[in-house]
Amino acid sequence: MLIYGLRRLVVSVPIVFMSTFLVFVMVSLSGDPLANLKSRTPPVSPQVIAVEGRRLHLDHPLLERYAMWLGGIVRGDFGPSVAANERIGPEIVARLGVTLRLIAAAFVLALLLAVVAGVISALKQHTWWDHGLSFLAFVSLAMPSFWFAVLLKDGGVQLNAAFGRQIFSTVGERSVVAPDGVVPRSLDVLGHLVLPTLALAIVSFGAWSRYQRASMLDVLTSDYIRLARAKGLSRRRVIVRHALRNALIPLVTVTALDAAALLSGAVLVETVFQWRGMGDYLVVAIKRTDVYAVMAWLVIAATAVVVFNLVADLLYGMLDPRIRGERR
Amino acid sequence: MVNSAAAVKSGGTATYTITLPITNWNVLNAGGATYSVIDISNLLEPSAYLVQPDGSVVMNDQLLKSATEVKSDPQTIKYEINPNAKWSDGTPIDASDFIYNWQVQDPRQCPACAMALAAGYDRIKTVTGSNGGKTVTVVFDTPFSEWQSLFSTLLPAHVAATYGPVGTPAGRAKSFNEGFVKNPPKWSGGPFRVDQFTSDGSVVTVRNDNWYGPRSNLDSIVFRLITDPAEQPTALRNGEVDVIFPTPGVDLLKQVQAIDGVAYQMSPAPQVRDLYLNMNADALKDKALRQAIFTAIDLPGLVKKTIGQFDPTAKPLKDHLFLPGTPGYADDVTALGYGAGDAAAAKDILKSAGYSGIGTKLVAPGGKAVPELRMPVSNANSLAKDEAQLIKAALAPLGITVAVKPSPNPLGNLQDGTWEILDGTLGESPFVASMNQAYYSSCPTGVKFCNFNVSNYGNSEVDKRLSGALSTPDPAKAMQLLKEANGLIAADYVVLPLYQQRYFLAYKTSLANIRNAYSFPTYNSEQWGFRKE
Amino acid sequence: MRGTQLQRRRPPRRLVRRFLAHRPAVASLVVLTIVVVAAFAVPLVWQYSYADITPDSSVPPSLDHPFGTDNLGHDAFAQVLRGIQRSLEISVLVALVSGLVGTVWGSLAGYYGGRVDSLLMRTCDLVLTLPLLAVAAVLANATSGSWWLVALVLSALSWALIARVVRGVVLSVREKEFIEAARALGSTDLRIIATHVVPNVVGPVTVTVTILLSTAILAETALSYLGFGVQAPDVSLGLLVSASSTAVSTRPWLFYFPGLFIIVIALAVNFIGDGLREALDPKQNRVRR
Repeated sequence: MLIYGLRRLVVSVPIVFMSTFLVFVMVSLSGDPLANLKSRTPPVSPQVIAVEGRRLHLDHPLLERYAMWLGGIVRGDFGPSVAANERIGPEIVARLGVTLRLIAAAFVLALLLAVVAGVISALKQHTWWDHGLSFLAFVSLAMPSFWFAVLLKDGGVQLNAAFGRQIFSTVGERSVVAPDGVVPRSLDVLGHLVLPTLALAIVSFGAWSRYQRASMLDVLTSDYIRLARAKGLSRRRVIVRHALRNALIPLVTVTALDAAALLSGAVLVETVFQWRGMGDYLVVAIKRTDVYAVMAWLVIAATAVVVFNLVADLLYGMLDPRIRGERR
Repeated sequence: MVNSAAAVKSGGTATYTITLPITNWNVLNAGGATYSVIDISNLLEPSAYLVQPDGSVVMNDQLLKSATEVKSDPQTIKYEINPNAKWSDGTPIDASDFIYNWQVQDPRQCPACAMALAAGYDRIKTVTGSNGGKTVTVVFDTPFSEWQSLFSTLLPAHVAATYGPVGTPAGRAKSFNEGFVKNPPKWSGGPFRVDQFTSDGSVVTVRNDNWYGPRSNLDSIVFRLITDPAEQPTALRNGEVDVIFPTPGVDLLKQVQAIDGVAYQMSPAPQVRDLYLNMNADALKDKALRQAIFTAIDLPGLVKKTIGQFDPTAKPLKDHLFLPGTPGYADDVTALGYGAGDAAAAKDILKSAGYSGIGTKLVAPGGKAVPELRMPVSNANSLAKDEAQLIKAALAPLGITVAVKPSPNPLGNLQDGTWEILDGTLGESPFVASMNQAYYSSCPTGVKFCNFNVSNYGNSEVDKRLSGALSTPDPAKAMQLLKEANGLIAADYVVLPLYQQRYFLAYKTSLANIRNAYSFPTYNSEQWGFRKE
Repeated sequence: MRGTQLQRRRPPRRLVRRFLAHRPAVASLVVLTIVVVAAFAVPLVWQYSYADITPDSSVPPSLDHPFGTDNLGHDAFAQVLRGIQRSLEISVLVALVSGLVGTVWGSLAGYYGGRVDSLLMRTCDLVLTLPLLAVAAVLANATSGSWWLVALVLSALSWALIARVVRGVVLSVREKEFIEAARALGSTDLRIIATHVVPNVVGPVTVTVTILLSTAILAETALSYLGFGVQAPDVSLGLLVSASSTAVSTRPWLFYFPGLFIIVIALAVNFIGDGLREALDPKQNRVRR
């Protein structure tokens, strides 16, 4: 299994390179990194613009720039950012930390909610419980996530007003000047985390709870569960020890694959809640045609996705022995 | 001070909102002159002259004892620096700072320096210090009437020296383009100093105990980065920030109005919105067509549906060079039919100029059809999108098709020449001649796009008057020349002034002495404070 | 031949009956039909066009303007109808393009196997590994925001999903005896793919494409919010709802109406997809993938 995974990893390397090339060309052609400088009032002298152009390697042809970028990446240098006071490497590492916190929290929350909802739906199939939870899952799949985030934010602010104190924060991942003490500091971080986590979790919740429901139903109707029941094991014991455990296997695999999709969701949520994470970094980079920053984002994101896929493969193999060695 | 100070207590932290990430710390640098950096540099960098909220210019009496023009030929200015003026590390502010600030902004002294604006510095011959550096003598080789604009937001020369040798052009460029650009300032010559630049792009400033001016009321001002203006009122309502200064909009205003304990000010900004016609386009080289276009556009209606939605006091702009409320402002355009919204008159102009196909598909007198006019519009600017639609609708009855082109970067179109109509914003300042010379002087022969003469407008008579106004020592003469230039520009029907932009400031009513200002709300940060109960 | 039997196993009439038994799907089909017909028919008779600039600026819903107006005085009802048209056009184009490309790609991979399969599917993996929204934003920023370019960008990132589904089905069909038989009888590859493989693929592809319809509408909305989607003066539901995201508490009619229609359409499409899946594959009552 590990070898299979590693082989896939090796195969994906040249393709990732191809895609970096495509994206590099597209971003480079999509606009002028010096546009902001050129649009200043009062106007900036052409000399100055030329100097900045050289700093961003714009005096080299496109292909050469890509080669330079590639050479830099190998040495761990992400290239010059349009933002003169920013070094892409340290910046993106800091932002990765911020985003991972959000994604991890949302992942856990979505997983918990999905398992609970899926199990209830499956155990009470065709009851109002099932219908209600299913409808909820479908609605969450049909909702534009930023639309929900905007509503959630508005709701949070109104709750604060109702309680007369600031429980939920709507801006950033923490206060600029953090309060003193471990407990107030943790509460500050938590207050900033709640709403964005909810907004992001809802994206995955819908799909995952449907998935859990289906696989739970599969397991419940399978022969070995019937056998276990026939052996006289209690319903509760059968459900928890056997059914739930087996039904979780496919879900875990799916969630590992979907974790990468949370990166996309984070772009929207970070915009609404003004987090300075990877998503915000990408949007700003695209808007200022910061080619090297966009490339850095893609390299990190692609790496994350490849890793998550590998994890999914490994998990699948570990959890379900029947699969081992079968897949090509 | 213009406004009297309200009673406030000492102490406290106010959180101010900045919208643009700080990518360059040097406010004098071309890449650094953004709203966020200007806001913060008001706290750190002293200026020889200050622009007051009403647009008047006064000497900064905390920094200077006097500034006088001691001689007119050659023009010579003498500055006397306050003996106690010093940077936060104790180094006195002296002639070396003036010399450094001149040299990095004069292309002759530092060709590689990425200065935001060279105007005036490139006319200085020498800057010398005497009296232990506390007297500065500036001698010009070409007269410069707007010399009060010089030596604004001073950078410390002794800090520059740690980034590169300031005695050589290369060393100056290194400090100006890299040192001051990349490093968050640890120094200050103002009421606050930067304490930290946080990983989320926010800036914490604390009182500069070494400041030579009156002690600030607040202990600290935090600059919180919120890049989406739409999210700023929510943060204000939720108590996460105390002051916001976003680009105004209808919903923004209504949201702020609905918040308890928050006051706001909407006031005219030193920025004008103009509609440009591209003089490189063959069809638009005919003045009659340009005149018809300006006549057909209903400017009062446009103002009412755009900026008027959030500021009912907004009026059409009537002058190309001067801002409303300044001494030179006059209506130069109504008599010429600018923004009349008179489709019938516009049709008559076209008819008598020999156009056909009026109202269907306009054809020029020579038999050539007037092509569709491309109007690039920024994706991010909803006001610009609205304006484009109104202009498109206004020109349709003439038989002119406006193709509104959403563009991630209209400036790209500007440089490529892939446009015929464009609306845009230009900054103005009390130094009218300096600013407008770049906007309305002819481009060099054969050049189709030069800096900020957007339309590629050229009229040698206008050129003469603008440069004359900048060189004459006589203010009345300068005004006369500017007014003449104004009239000539209006008669050429190339730029249609739309309206003056607005600044929008909203803040908790617990804060006092905070107001909209020409040079941004932070211009008097030391006076900000929380009210006494 | 057994190949035809394989198709005959699910005659349309039974399929329709099973679909009709799925009540949410049927209700959704009715709702969606009404919305689509209204979006294309009502503008023909409605008093305002989406481009009309009326003198009423920012007025709340009334009889004259059932959904209110924006600050230019655009009738929000006319704009929402136009937005539905545009959003549907985008999602249908996405579904068609990626359905077609994905089916061909997946069939080739599954049918030929070996190196071809490996190469084609690794490409798919690559496309699937790219975070859709992010890459779409990069691509869409390079385009000028024409609706069909936005649709093509979304297609370019979603066809791989279908290719993967199709390949799976083809792999399972390929080894069946009737294919061997057909090959033995001298059928060309192309003919075998067309007559035996494609019919079996239709079901799963339909289901996936249906889900793509709603994904596309939501993706377009997200792109618009970030400023990389359809651009004014064009109108789409995503553009309307994102342009009014500042208006939640001040001019709620501008925010809720287009948002509601996005949910209704996406919800209906998802239910229909669910109904189709159950009708095609009643035993395997499984969701997605």
